[in-house]
Amino acid sequence: MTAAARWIDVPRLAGASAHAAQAVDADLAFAHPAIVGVDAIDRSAGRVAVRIADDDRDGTADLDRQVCQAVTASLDSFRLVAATETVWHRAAPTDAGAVPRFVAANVIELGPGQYALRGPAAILRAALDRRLAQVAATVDAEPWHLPSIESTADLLRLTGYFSSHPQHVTWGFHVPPHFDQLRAFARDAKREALAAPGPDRAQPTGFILEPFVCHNVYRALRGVQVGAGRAITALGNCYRFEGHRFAPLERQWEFSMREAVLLGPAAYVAATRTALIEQTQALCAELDLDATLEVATDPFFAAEAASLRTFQAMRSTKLELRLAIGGGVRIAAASFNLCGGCFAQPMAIRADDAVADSACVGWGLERWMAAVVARWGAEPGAWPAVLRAA
Amino acid sequence: MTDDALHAQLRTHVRDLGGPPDVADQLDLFATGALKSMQLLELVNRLEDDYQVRVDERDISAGRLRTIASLATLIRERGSRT
Repeated sequence: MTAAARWIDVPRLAGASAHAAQAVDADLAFAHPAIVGVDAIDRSAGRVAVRIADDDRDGTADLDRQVCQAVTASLDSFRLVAATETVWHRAAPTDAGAVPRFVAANVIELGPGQYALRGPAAILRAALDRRLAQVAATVDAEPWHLPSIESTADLLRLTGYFSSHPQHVTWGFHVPPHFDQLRAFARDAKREALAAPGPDRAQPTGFILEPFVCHNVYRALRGVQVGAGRAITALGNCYRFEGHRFAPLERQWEFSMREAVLLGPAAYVAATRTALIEQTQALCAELDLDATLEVATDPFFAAEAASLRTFQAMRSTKLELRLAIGGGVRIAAASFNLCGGCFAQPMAIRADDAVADSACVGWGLERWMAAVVARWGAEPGAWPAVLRAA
Repeated sequence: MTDDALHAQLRTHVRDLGGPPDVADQLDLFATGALKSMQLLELVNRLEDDYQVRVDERDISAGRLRTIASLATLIRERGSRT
């Protein structure tokens, strides 16, 4: 596919601060389906350059309008949010060429955001998960396994996930279990080599591919009394659509996340989250990774982001660990989120005589892999011994 | 405007936004769920329109919109209509 650059004026961008513009690049991924890349965000001139697929050159009026709206909403969402505050940093050297070399040798692209890991990449992923499971075990987290799909009927609706993050969701559809309808689809699929049922035949399954591991933990604990506190950990496959921004290890449609979910009285949740932050910092030191810990906000859908981002900033509920992957680039590789009663209340999870507090801690395995490779190189023989065997 | 009158006005704003009718001065409006996240910007808009104050990101990170008492202090410091 070839692509052409197109400059689009966005008056609100003129003179905007770097802080306010920090999410524009990401939000442009969800402005219009014709966008296949972002070449420039020019804050002094108030315009952006997007790359559009050649076969999408028609209809640029709609493209311009969508881009202008998305960028404006993105900027507005930071009006009441202070610049990112770094609360901890440790420095280490990185090799900018190591991750591309490692990916070329050990990662196979199967489709947008879908990657096969072979040999050393599969070993490194498993070894990192084993080490992170040990981190979760330091707070006595129970090991669980959960499905990669989750219901659309309860928690997602009650917590407003579909309005706050619709851009990331991958819904499930199927042909209903009706003999004539299945036979008609089977016939057409054979005759026309169909890849999917049309809108007249597709029916929502009632689930999505899970964007987090934790939702199914809350669902599984519906109505449970957690008393003085309970921690659960699981590794899961998570799914988030990212438009044109997919990149192996760094940003995948399917990625691996180990999570620890903490439930109990507020004091237990806060103390246990702090313990996991300290253990994660210790792991960064053990692996000698360049890391920062920052107060952060979620990647909310731009049109809904202003209230949500401001609310999250007001309560300082999210800390994000960012790891260096070479070339001055840092990516979020873990987050430590205080959730209050946001998930426990709709699932009626109680701690003694009150709604339980909760926190979710997530570690993104592929991004930890990139950080390890950037620090220690593409050759497994140079990695710390703890990461050399699955 | 007296402190009592200002506090009463702010309680009316909270109630109009869907909060409980008579919140205590020190109640954390958002941590307790008296107001929801989506109502935060509406509260900011009301403060800016009705009291001619400009709320900024430092007020948010410092938690100055969390309680009736802290809202009143913010308005006293910045406002021209009280």
